[in-house]
This record gives sequence, structure tokens and C-alpha cells, in this order.
Amino acid sequence: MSARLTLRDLTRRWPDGTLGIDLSGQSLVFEPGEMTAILGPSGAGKSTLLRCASRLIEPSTGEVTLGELALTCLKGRALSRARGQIGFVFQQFNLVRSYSALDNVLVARARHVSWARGLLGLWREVDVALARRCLDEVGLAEKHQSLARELSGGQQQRVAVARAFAQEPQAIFADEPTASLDPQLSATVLGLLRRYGQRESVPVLINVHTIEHARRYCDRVIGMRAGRVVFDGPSSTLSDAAVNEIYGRQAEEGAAL
Amino acid sequence: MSRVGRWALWALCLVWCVALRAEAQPQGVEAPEEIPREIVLGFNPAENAQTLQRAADALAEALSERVHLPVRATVTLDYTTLVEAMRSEHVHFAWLTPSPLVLAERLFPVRVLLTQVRRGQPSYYSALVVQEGSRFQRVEDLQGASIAWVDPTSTSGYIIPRYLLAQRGFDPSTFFARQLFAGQHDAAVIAVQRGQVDVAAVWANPPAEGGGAWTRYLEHRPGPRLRPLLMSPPVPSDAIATKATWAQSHPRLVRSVSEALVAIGQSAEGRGLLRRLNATDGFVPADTAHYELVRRAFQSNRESHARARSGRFEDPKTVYIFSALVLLAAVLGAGAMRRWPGAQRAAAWSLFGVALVWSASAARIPAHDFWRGWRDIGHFLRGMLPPDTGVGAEVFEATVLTIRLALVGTVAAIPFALLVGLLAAENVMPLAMVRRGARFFCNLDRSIDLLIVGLILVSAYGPGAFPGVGALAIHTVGSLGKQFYETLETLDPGPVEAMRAVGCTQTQVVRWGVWPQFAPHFVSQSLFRFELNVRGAVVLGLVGAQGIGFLLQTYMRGAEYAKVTVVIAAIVVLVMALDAISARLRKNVS
Repeated sequence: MSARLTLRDLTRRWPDGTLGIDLSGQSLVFEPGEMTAILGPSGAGKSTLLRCASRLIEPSTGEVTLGELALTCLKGRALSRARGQIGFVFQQFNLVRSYSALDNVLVARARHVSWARGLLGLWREVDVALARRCLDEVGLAEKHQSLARELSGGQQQRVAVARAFAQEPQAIFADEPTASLDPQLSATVLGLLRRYGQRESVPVLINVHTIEHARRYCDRVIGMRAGRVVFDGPSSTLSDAAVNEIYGRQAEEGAAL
Repeated sequence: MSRVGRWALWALCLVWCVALRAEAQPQGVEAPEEIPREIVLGFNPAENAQTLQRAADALAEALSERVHLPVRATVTLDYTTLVEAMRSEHVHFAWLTPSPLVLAERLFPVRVLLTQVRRGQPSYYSALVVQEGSRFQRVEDLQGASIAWVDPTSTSGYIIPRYLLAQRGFDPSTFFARQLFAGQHDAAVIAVQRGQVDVAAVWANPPAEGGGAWTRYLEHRPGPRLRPLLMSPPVPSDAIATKATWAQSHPRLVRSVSEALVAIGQSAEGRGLLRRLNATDGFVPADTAHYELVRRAFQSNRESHARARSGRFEDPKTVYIFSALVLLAAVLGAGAMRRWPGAQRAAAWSLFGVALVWSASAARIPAHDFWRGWRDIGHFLRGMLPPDTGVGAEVFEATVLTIRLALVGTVAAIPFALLVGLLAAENVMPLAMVRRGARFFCNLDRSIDLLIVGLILVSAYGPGAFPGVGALAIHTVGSLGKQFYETLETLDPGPVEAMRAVGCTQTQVVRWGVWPQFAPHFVSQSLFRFELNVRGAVVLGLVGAQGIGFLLQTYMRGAEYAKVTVVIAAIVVLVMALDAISARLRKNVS
């Protein structure tokens, strides 16, 4: 079950020729159960890295492997299914606002049921039970039937986390999951992700802006700047000097903290 | 919205299924060697279309009893439609006045079977009639007068009288100061009686008997009497004709129908029936040679029209010079003049001014006749009051029919509109080629106006409800499809990305990421399109699709303005009610 995630020589060049990320000559390996924070100023390529790694954006070069699965070699339906191996949590939650919390989680099962069932929403008993468990796990046991748009921001993000869990993923990526939340809710969401990663033994990658969170919840920190990895080490080794290195002069001005 | 939207969606699906079933039934295919399922007699309206329909139905029934086959009578909106219906074999036996016969002969081989007998003669006459006490005594006096013709294809009401004028050396296109088409003989003589025009061209009885359209239609109308000013030589009466190729493949049927029609005219009760059809006494066998006079008159008219046309329109030279100027201005404006914005703006404005003045001359505003038009509108308005509420039930039925046509047309088009809309949307269809194709289709389809589609379908299928529904459906696919893809592309990309991330295939992404966001727009835009289509169905009635527009047309042609009032009131109420209901529904959905 537990799989290792490897990114090798990954680059992404935008249509205008600028490099979004440039990991040429670099290889990143994420162990099962390991929670990694990706730090860096806006525009450093953190989001691009996660999207390239799950092939929501096409990488220009390089390869991504998740366990036995070579993601960068896949096409069509196989690619769709492979993407489903990675749970993705978005900054803006990306829920269907007119659907209930439960329906929002159930769509994660589309990959696991027949094409027709997935299209008509005829979920199996086991899928519904799993979706309910995932919602219970994120503390929304009372809110299964609430419409997404009626939920608060924190609740919506927890529905999104439950959706990622319901995929039964081999890895979890979270793109600034706490940027729209207050500090207490941020702690809840990060705690959920960490607990899940350790229990199911899957690598968890999160983009964060809060260095405090990176130190407290993550095992490892990767610092990015201008598309390149400029720091990679256990979160305990993330010194203030290293933060300055990642954020440049911004950190000295206190802007990033 | 989700629950309301889903219910609305299911309801729409259901209605669509029912509508398709209803549409699927009346299709019939006829095999050329066999006897057709039913025989269709076609009539063109020489007077009130509804009176005619009842009389025609009675004849169809009598004929059916004699030939032992179902016979149906259809009354078309105008001559051209009847001729087209013959060509497409939707009408097998057509009751043709001479001029549509000549028109049909130009389009396909026609076989004349019988000629109508009226007042004991297989011919009739045409007359120019004026008010009894008017100053007009001789044809020359009519120079500069105003005239009501019946219809540009009417023999006694247009072709023959113009031929008579041309034979006397007058150019019929410039002889009269003002010309209008009354649509029907009764409307033409009423226009003279009311003083709306000085003279009308209508059918007449043989000179020995006197009288004609003006005595028949004005018999019970108070007002000034009319007298003939000019009578034509005998013109052959109406013909019963078939398409020649159809007659060849159905020789026995054609013979038995001809014999049955002659026999109907010889029986006492049959003659009673025929009396109601344009005062017919019976039929005698005939062939196409009888109609040579009409053919000549027709030819003369086409030549005179061709002459008139060459002088009437713009001098071609000015058109080319002006178009070249516009092109030059566009080239200059796009390139060199961009550097001097002031000069460019001045040039654009002056060009616009010239174009406007030049175009205003095309409108040919009738400077001295302007107020005369207002006076005629006054006649019209006075005729509208008080409304004839006796037609309430008829108008109500036609209104309901219009709504039904719009509903079927809209609902049948929605699945196709949704399909092209999805294929054209960038966030649904990844292949640019397919998107471009779908977009091109939408824009092409949209650019062909509803009325144009309607006219084409009416000429293909004959007048009736189906061409109206078809036109609505065809036009709706393009215009609604375009609205759909434009809306689809404004949707939040977040859920779409999330669905891709959870491993959905492209169809599942559309189902779960796009559709839930799109559904409320889908419902409200479909509703709005239905509302527009009801208005469209009203107008389509004017080109021969059934419904309230058709009724309006019928009353207008019969100069039954008091009934027109009721129709217009119904249209106003319909449109306003629909606007209110649809606005409320749409608000609930979104």
C-alpha cells in the first residue's frame, strides 16, 4: 500500500518561455508517512510544482513516479485514474457549492465505480459508507446533508480534505490549504492531514506560507525560490537564516511572517 | 437551486420524450406504385380561408365517398405555397386559378384535368371597378389614380387587367400613382367602397349577366355601389390539375377522381356543395391548351416588370463607386491614418454622414403622400372598433396552439443545443478543431433568421404546424447552443480542476465539475428561449405555420379588422403574461 513519490528533473516552461519550475538535475524523494512543507515567496513555483507532480499541468520535462506508477508516461483514462491516486486539497476548496457535503465527497469515488454509475451518481453502499466515515473523521458528522455553500470556510475546507481522503490516495498534495482560514482552523486542517499521512503511510506535501506551521506539523521542509529548490532538510534544521535564504529580503522586512 | 434545478431538468426530459413521441407519429412514406394512404386536394384562398376550408372539407368528403379512399382538403396561404405543395406531392390534386397554373408550368410539367364551370360557362372575366359616382369614365381617366390589385399572381386581379392596359399602350407599372395588394377580391372591392383606393381589379361575371366580385361581396355591405370601367375578354376558369409525373404513376386514380368530380357537378346535392366553392356549377374536361391567353398575359407582365425594374433601382455606377469609397476608407483608416487620430475621426464621421444621406434616399419617403398613409391607418383603426369578441374561442385555441408549437420546438432543440454548446466550450471539449466546428455551426445557424428557416420549411413541407416547429427547433439549436457555451466558459474552474484531481474522466469532469454549476443557467436560459420562441411562433404564423399569427393573417386579408383587434389583444396578453411567469421562474431557479 505505502508508496514512495519521486520527482526527477521536473521542469515546466510557460508558453511565454519563462520557467515556472526548474528542478533539472534535482531529484526529490518523498517517503511514505512523511509530511513535507514547501515554503517560498509567491511566484516561487510551489503551486506549479504540485500541479506538475499530479499532472494537472503538463510538465515540460522530467518524470514523476508514485510507487510503481510512472505518472509522466500515462495518457487518457489511465492518466485520469492515476491522478485519482493523489488526493489534492485546494486553497479555494473547489467544492460544488450547490451539492451537499456528502455528494461532494462521493465524487471522489467516481474512479472506483463503473463509468455509468460514476456518471449517474449511483454510488454503491460501500462508497457511501466510506464517504460518511471520511466526513466523520474531519469532524463534520452533523453536516452530511448541508449544502456546501451553507458551510463556513473552515467546514468547506474540511469537506475538501474528506474528499481527498475518500479517494483512498497514495499521496496527498495540499496547495495552501490554510491560506483562507484563521489560525485555529489552519491547525485543525494541518493536524488532519498529518494524522492521515501517518496512519495510512502516504507522503503528504503541503504548500504553506506560515513558517510556524511548517516547523510544528511537518517532518521536512523544502524551500523554493524562482522555480529552484534552495533548501531541503528536516524541519528541525530550518533556521532563521535558512528562512531568509528562501524568502530573500522579504523575510528581513517581516513580510512573509 | 440543486433540488429545484434537478426537478426542472427531469420535467424537461419528460416533456421532451412526450413531444418526440407526438412528433414521430404523423410521418408517412408513400410508395409511388401504390395507392396513396389519402388523397390531398389543395385550394388557394380566393376569399375567407375558413369559409373556404369548410366548403373544401365537404367536397373532400363527397369525393371520398365516390373513390372509396380518404380524401383531405388543405387550404394554403397563397398560390406559391400551393404550387410548391404540388411539386413536393403533398397536394395531389390542386384547384388552381389560371395564373398559379402558369407558375406551376414553369416549375414542373403539369397536367390539366378539368376546367371549372361557373354560371354555365368554363370561363370568367376580369374588370376594373370604380365607385358608381366617381369621375372616372374611360380608362385614360385612371392615369394617376390609386388601384388595389388582388395579388401579384392573381389572374383576374392583376395579370389580365395589366395585360389589357399594356395592350392599350399604357405602361401598367407607371400608369397609377399608387398601387397596393389587397390580398383577396373581397378586400379589394371593400377598399374601393371605403374610398381607400380609386379603382380595383377583380373577377367579373359574363358581360351579359353583369356584376362580379363587387356585387357579390358588397351585397350586404352598406355604402356606395361600384361599377365596372373596363371588362376583359373571357378568361378560362380555374383548373383542376396534377403534377404530370404523379398523374403518370397513378393513371387509374387520376381518371377515377376526374370522373368523380364531373359526376359530383352533375348531381343535385354535389352542385350544392360546389356552389360554396367560388360559385362553381361543375367541371368539364380540359387540357393545357385552353390556357393560352393566360400564358400570354403572364409573359407580357413579366416583360413589363423586367422593364420597370431596370429603371427603378439605383444606378449601378453609384453603387460601385460608393462601395469602392467605403473600402478605400477602411484601408486608409486601418493603416496610414492611425497616426493622425483627429483626421481619422473626421474622415469616419464624414463617411458616416454621406452613407446616411445616401441611404435615406433609398427609403423613398413619400413626401406628398405621407399624410394619406395616416388617413388609411385611421380607416384601419376605425374598423378595429368595437372588437368582435365572438371570435374569442377561436383566438384562444390559436393562442394555445402557438404555445404548444413553441414548447415542442424548444424542447426538441434543447438536447442538440446542449450538445453543440458542450462541444464548443473550452472547459469541456479539449480538441480545438471540434470546438471551432461547433462554434461555426452555432454562428451559421443563428445567422439564418427564424422567418427565413420558416419560409424554407413551409415551401418544403407545405403550410402547417410542422414547418413552424421545425423552424423554431433549427433556429434554437444555434442560438441556444451559443448562449450555452458562452455561459459554460464563465463557470468557476475550481470544481473542474478538483474533479480532474480526484481522477474523473473527461465526461465525469463535465458531469460533476461543470454540470452542477451550469444547471441553473441551463434551466433559466432554456426558459427564456421558450419565451422568445413563443413570440417567434406568433410571427411564424404569418408565413404559414399554424397558430395565432396565421389567424391574424387570415383576418387581415379578409379585412376583418374587428377580429384583428381580438388577435392583437391576445398576443399582447400572451407576451406580457409569459414575460412575467418566465421572469419569476428564472428568479426561483438561480
